[in-house]
Amino acid sequence: MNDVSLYAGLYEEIREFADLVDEVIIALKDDLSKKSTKTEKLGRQLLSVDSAQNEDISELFINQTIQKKSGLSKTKIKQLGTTLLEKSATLENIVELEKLAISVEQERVSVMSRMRGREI
Amino acid sequence: MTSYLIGAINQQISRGEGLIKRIPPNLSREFHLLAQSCQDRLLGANENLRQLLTEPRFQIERNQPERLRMFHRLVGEMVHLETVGIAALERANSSDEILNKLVEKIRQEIKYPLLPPVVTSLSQEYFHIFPDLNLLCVPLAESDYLLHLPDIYHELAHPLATTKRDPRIRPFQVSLGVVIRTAIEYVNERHNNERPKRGPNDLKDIWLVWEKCWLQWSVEFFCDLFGIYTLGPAYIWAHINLCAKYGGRPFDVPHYLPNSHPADDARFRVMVIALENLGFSQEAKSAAKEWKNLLKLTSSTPTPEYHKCYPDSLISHIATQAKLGIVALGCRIASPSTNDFVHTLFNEAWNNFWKDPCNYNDWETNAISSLKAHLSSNTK
Repeated sequence: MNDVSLYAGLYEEIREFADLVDEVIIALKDDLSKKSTKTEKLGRQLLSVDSAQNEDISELFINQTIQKKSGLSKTKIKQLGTTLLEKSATLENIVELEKLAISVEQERVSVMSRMRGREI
Repeated sequence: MTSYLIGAINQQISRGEGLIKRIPPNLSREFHLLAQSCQDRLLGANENLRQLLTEPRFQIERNQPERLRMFHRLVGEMVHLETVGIAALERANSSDEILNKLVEKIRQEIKYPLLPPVVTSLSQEYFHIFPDLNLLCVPLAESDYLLHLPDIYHELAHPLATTKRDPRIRPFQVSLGVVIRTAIEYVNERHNNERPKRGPNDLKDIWLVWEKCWLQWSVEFFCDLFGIYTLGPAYIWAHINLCAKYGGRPFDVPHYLPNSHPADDARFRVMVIALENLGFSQEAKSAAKEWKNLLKLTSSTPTPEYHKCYPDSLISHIATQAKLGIVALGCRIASPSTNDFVHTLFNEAWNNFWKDPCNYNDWETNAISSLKAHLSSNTK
C-alpha cells in the first residue's frame, strides 16, 4: 500500500543515469569531439528512448522520465543521441544535456522521497 | 560554494567511515550479505567523494554544477545506507531471526528463483522491500501475527520486476512488458478516439495521466498476482483485510497527478480471476461476497472513469499474462491440493478467522508458537 518497494527498485537506475549524463557533460565541455564509452552509452540510450520492445522495467521508467520530464521532444532526444554517437556534439547540445541533467536530478530526488515513504 | 563543498565533502567522508564502524561484528549469518553490501557501497561512495575533492576536472569552475549534483547523489546514497541498511544491521533482534527463517521457508516452498531477502522488523511503512539491498522490512510486531504475512509474497515479487539482466527471471519481465504495452496501447487508442469530441479538457487529459501510471500499476498488479498464484486465497484475504483496516477509496482513479498503485477494487478483480484460474472458485466467491459487503459499508461506488480506466478485458489479460510469467519462472503454483507448511498455515489462519472470529486470537497464539518452534527446529 506504499510506494517504497516500487520506487526502491527503480532508484538505482535513475541514479546511474543521472551520473552518466553529468559525466558526459563534463567530458563534452572539455572536448566536444572526445571519444568515450560513456558518451556512446548515453547516445545509445537516448536513441532507444521510444523503443516499444524494451522489457526492462527500469529502462522503461528512465525512458518515461526522459520523455515526460526533460521538456525535450522525442525527436530532439533522438537527435541528441545520434549526435553523441557521431561525436559531433555542439555547444547547443551541451545546453540540452544540462536541461536533461537538471530534470533527471529532480526526478531522482522525487523518487528518493517516495522510497523513504514521503510524497512529493 | 567551493569552500562549502570542500568542508561538506570532508564531513561526508568522515560520516561514511563512521557508518562502516557501526556495522556490528557478531551478526547472524542471514545478515552477512547485507553487511558486506553496505560496507562495499559506503567504501565506494567515499572513494567517489575523494575524487570530487581531488580530481582536477572537479576543480574547474564550469564543472561545478555537475560536481554539486554528483555530491547530492552520493549524500543520497549514504543517507539510504544509513537509514535503511546500517539501521537494520545495528538493530537486528530475535524477531528478525524468526522472520528470516520464515522467508527462507517460503522461498523453498514456492521455488523462488532469487536469493531470499534479509528481513528486518523496523518498518515504519507496512511491508516493503529494498531490492538494491535485498532487504525486506516488516512492522515491529508482525512476527506475532499471521493475517498480514501473506504480503511477504507481494514483496518478494518486486525484485522479480526490477532486477536487471538476470536470465532466471526474464519470463516474468517479458510477461510484464506485454501487459505494459497492451495497457498503454489501450490508453492511447481511447485517448485518440476521445480527443476530437467536445467536452471538458479534464476528461481528455485524464488519459495522459493514466498512460504515465500504467508502468507502475502493472508492476503492482503482477506483485499481487505473484501472491495469489503462489499462495492462493490467503493473499486475497490479506488484501481485503488491509483495505478494511486502513480505509481509502476502492474505486479511486487519478485525475491530475499519476499515482503508483492501481485502485483497490481493480486489484481485487484481477485477484479473483486468478483465484478462479487456480481452481479456488468457492474461495473466490466468498472473497467477492465480503468485498461487496465492505464496499456497501463504505458507500463506495465506481465512477464512469473507473470503468474506462480498468476495463474487464485488460484486467483479464493481466491475470493471464502474469500466470504465464510466473509458471515460466518455475515457481510452485498454488492449488487446492498444495500442502506445503507455510502455505497451509497462512490459508488455515484465514479459514479459522472466518470460522470463529471471536476465538481466532487464541488459535493464532498457538499457531504462532508452533510456527516458531517448527522454524527453530528445522534450521538448527
